[in-house]
Amino acid sequence: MASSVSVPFLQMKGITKRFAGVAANVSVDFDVSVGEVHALMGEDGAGKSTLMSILAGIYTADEGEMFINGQSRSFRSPSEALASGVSLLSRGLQLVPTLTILENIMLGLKRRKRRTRDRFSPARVRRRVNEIADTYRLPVQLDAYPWQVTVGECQRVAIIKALMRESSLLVLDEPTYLLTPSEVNDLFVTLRRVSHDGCGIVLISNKLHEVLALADRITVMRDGTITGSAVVADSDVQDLERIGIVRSGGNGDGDGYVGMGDQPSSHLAKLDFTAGFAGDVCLRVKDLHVVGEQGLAAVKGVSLSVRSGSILGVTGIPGNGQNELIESIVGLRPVSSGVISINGVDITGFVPAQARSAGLAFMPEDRERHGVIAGCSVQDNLILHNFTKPSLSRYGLLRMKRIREHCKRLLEQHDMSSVDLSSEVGLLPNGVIQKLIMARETSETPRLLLVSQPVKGTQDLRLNSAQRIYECIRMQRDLGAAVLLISEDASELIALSDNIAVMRAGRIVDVLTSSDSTVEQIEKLTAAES
Amino acid sequence: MSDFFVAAFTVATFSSAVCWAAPYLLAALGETLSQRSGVINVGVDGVMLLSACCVSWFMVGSNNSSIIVGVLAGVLVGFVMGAVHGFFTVVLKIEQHLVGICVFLFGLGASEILARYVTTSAKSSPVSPVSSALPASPVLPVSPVSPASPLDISIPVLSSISVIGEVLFSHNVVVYAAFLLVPGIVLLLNRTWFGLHVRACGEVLCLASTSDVPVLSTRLKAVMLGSGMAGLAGAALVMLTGDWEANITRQMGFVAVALVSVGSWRPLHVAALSIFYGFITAVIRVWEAEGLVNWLIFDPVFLVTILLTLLALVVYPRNAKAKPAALTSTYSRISK
Repeated sequence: MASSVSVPFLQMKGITKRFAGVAANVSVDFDVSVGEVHALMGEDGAGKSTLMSILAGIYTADEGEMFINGQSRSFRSPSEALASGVSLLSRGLQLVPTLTILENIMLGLKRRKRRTRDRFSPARVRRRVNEIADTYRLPVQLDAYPWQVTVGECQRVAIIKALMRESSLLVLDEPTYLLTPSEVNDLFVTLRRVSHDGCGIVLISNKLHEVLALADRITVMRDGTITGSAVVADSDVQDLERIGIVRSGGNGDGDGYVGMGDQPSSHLAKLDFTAGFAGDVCLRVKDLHVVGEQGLAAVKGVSLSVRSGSILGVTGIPGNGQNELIESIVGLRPVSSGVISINGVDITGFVPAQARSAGLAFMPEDRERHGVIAGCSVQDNLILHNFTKPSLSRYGLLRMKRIREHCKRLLEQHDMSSVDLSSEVGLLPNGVIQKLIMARETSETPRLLLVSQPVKGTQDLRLNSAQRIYECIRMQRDLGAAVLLISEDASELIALSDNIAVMRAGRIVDVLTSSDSTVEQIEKLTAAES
Repeated sequence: MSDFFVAAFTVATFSSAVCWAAPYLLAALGETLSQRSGVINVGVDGVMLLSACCVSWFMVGSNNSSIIVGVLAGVLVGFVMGAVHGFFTVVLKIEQHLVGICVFLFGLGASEILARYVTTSAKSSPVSPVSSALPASPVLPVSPVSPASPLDISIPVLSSISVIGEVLFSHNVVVYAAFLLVPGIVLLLNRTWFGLHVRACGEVLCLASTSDVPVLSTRLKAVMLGSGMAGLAGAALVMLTGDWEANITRQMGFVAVALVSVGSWRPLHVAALSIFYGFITAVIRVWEAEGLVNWLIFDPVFLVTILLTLLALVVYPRNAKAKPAALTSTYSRISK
């Protein structure tokens, strides 16, 4: 893993990229040597992904130069980048769902210009894949379909694809994002071997312990520029502080997030834990069975209850039935068997509108698809559920003046007076969208509030939205709502909820009291092999 | 009632069913290929009409040997119209259904006009497109009437087997081609780079940013091939009826488009359905010829196939996952 090579494999010089006038990268210099693992850190929106998209040919830089092996290159398309040996493994790994893993690997193996070598031969590809899988410890089931395998395996497939193409540079965008701890370990073993064989690796990550375990060099970005860079082997805490990885006087355990004014953990620090007052049981779910996306059982006999004025957190590794659970309560997904009731009223099989009138409110994870109508204005979105009320419409006509007043009041209540009522919701930052949803959902004082991943992807602005969202969830609880909170972030759950249910393979495997549970304990429970 | 039954199950009917299956097979399999790449071509019927018109020009205009040129011209018409459809839908990214409707209307109109000028046959009195939509059911011949053309080939040995020989091995080249294209399309989709790319393009569009799949050219090729097969279907139709006539397809192209989704985009299912439709068409033609069916206003073939298709769309076991996920969506390189 030597990093002292005369000409780096990749050099990016003075890269600048603007989107609609907003600078995402400002004269960024970045390089990767042969066989080096170079970590790129920084908060969301710092410009890491833009820089890597330019490298992979998805975007073209407005200014700046790029050199591969010392030769000036500018990629106009992803396939040009691939041909030069640059493979980008994005976070949403893309496999074609109707093709087998083997076929997915074969996709893109045909080189458009060298026709002679490209005989279509699944058997030969299978042999080659098996060789690579053995060498780099990347076990995959070649005849399975993508939905039958784990996220970790999909990622191994992506790495195999890159290795099959004889890539010289792998760019991994938050590769450990959805992996279990054991999968992370295996991935790192693989990546070390790959880099040892001369392939450069760019690792985008915000988890310092992972970066320190793997990287030769660390570069930190903020607001589209590079704030600092350090060689891991000969730097100490002060160096890391200087480049902005560790906050001065930071939490010392070497873990945690990077330069993160806006990460959930720091917001959570400001919240003191207070227990809810816990009234009568509001939401009761009895022996619920739900079929998931692929026709397989996703929720297998879940029973739970949430009292008014308390928060029940539900956690688990994504894909263990949490989403299907919440979707079936809302009425988005049919229930195979079991009973769901709110305050004793059976709402099993209700469509969302009916569930809503029973006092349910929902802040979904997929905000753009389930939370708002992205193409409509802020005002339209704020009155989606209650525009038929006499105060907002009469004789089938909307009372525009009252609606405007109603919406203005809502925005003021949530510190968003600066948001224009007529602006299109889809163009707003994620944090603002989430606050709009929150304003709408809590405007009617719900009896049951379902929240999925409340602050995921909302660290994109300086409005302190995560903090506001947490406070609002708290407030609803104190007003007497039962809250069901789904999250992958254990520290968030510990700080917010009264009890935490851990889901694994469609079942609740344990319920903890949040006041005496730890992040490690929860992570261990979610990841345990069943 | 027994008359109907007896007429439906004669050797001649089965032989004719094999002939009638050919245009359905060609059109539906071509459309399957196109749709698997994510492009729906609603204008198949227009392609068939125009190609049939061109083929009939070569058939009627001069001696019989130019039929080979005619069939090639029909396929060429298909390719060109496929290229036009592909250019508008894949390159210019215009709504696929709208372009399909335009292709159909163009084929309908152009074939009428062309037929007025080039057909020497007395039968082809000028008909306006409006009246052609509901044709006054001319009784069509059950099996080809044209004298033995160079494309009619009885397969040596096999055709002398009684019954089977007549039903399966005494047809023209286009019919054989239609049936050979069934395994052909299956192999193309599953055993070639092109087929792999076609299947991928029909499912995920932003692939080009992660894999090296040429989305535009793959789709363009698939649409052109599919349309070329529709052109061949038009040729098969003319060779079957022996001459051009107004609205020769009886909306067969639309039925073919529907058969693709009835058959869940799987070539073998689509082929089986096409053969079944060929049989139904042949049986109705036989009944017509024997005077068992005489609906003055409606063309029974048109009516029955459309109703049957509606029924099939409702009752045929469907596989929701089979539909290509990226069907009708346009591709752009950067997708967020």
